[in-house]
Amino acid sequence: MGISALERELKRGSTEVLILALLEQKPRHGYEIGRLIDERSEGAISFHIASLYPTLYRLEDKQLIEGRWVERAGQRRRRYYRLTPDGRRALAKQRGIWDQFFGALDRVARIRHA
Amino acid sequence: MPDFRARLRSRIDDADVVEELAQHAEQAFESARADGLSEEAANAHAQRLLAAWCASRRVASRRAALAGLPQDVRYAVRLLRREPFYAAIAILTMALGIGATTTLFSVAYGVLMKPLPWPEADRVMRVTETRKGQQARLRGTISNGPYLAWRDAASTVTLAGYGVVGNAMTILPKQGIEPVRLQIGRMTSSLFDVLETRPVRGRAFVPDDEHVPASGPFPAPKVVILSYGLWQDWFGGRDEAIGSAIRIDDSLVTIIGVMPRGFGFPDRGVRAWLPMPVGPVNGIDSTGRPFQTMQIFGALARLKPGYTPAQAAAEGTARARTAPDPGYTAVAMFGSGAAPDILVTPAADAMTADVRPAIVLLLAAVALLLVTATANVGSLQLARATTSGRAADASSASWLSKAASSASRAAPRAWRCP
Repeated sequence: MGISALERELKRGSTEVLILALLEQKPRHGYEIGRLIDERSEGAISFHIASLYPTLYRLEDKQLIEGRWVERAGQRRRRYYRLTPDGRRALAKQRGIWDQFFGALDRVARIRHA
Repeated sequence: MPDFRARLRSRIDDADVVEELAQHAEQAFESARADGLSEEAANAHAQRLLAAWCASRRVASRRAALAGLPQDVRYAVRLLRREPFYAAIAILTMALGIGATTTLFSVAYGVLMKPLPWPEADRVMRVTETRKGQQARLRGTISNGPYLAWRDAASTVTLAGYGVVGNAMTILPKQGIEPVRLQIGRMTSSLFDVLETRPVRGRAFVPDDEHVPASGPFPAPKVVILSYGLWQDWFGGRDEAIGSAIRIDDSLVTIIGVMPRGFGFPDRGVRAWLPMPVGPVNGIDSTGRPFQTMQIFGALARLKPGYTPAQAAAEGTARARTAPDPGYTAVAMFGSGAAPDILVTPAADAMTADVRPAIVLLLAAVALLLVTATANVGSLQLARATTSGRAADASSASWLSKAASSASRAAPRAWRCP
């Protein structure tokens, strides 16, 4: 696998886990998810907003998240996403994989994660 | 603010997706403006987002993915799991309606719409004699006078007569089989031409088999044709059946043929056929004295190419009126001594005329049942949607308030790369 392919796979995998992790705390709409990833990574993660909705729809098709329109008084209708039980299990599994990955990087190349 | 929806609509069918992406673009635009970007720069930023989303195949095909069969199936399975009682009621109601409609439609098709099992069956007609608009006591029949007058000079049709003897006692002497009661049919030799059907073994009746003597009573029948089923039952499908003798009531008759499998005329209950002689109206008895006879029986006709039922009926009526007048016998049988008229109607229609109104009525009733079942399920769905809509509002509110309160408690989680 070339560097660009590896980067693409890592980016794709990390985008999914980032979205699942953000939805673990509470339901959020698409703009909020994009903004939070941008803010919380403090620019360190180069998150391409163009892939946000394709990823959201892919996760929804896989039934890892569930989207629904919510209308509240005085606010416009918004589509909120929340984690499904399958999504919660997938997130736990992904965390385990990333932990192992970072652990291996640390042991081999002394790369630590926060 | 620029109209982001128009651009999205040109590429994306799903209105919800358009709305969701447009809202995001609007917020991105406002955010960029708040950060001090010019309107053009903020618009360019938002337009770049739109371009990226529109280029995404997954976004563009969102509706297909949602509306597709797999999605429907998944939704159905989820619903089934989540609300098995509701799903069972809906499935049962629809199954009942669809099942009843399908069953009765099968019956209606078999009885009313399926063509009769003869070649070019649409040319086979039922022939009925009326006098002053009244049919004979046995409905859908013709009497011997008009029949013979038309048969001997017909140019528009081939005419045939038939009848049913009823349950005759039949004995197969050679094999010692117990006597059984069978329904025996009668047919003229021309019926094979009208139905365009031939025996699969042996031969059909010929005019000599229905010989009518110049005087005295009709002779006893001498030949018989078996149905396929009777041939299998009695002879195991062996050819030695042809030429064997059986006794039907008091007559010893020779088996001369076997009809094809599935042939049942005038109905499937008939197991064997004897020839049917049709005598003249004016006869001479065995002592030499003249007498008048009226035979009443069913008749079919096959239209010759190029002729219509109306033309056949006109010819039949004209010929029938040349037949000898049976006098008071006609009054006794038809309730009128008027000149005969001949009606020619498609056999399929005539055979189902009695049951057609009942079946059509039942079909309409069952269709109504299906509509009712569908409406019931629809109402159930509507009631459920209304209830769950209220619940959803409540749950959305609690969902959001819970989310808001948990968010205030939750510490921000930072993801850092080294």
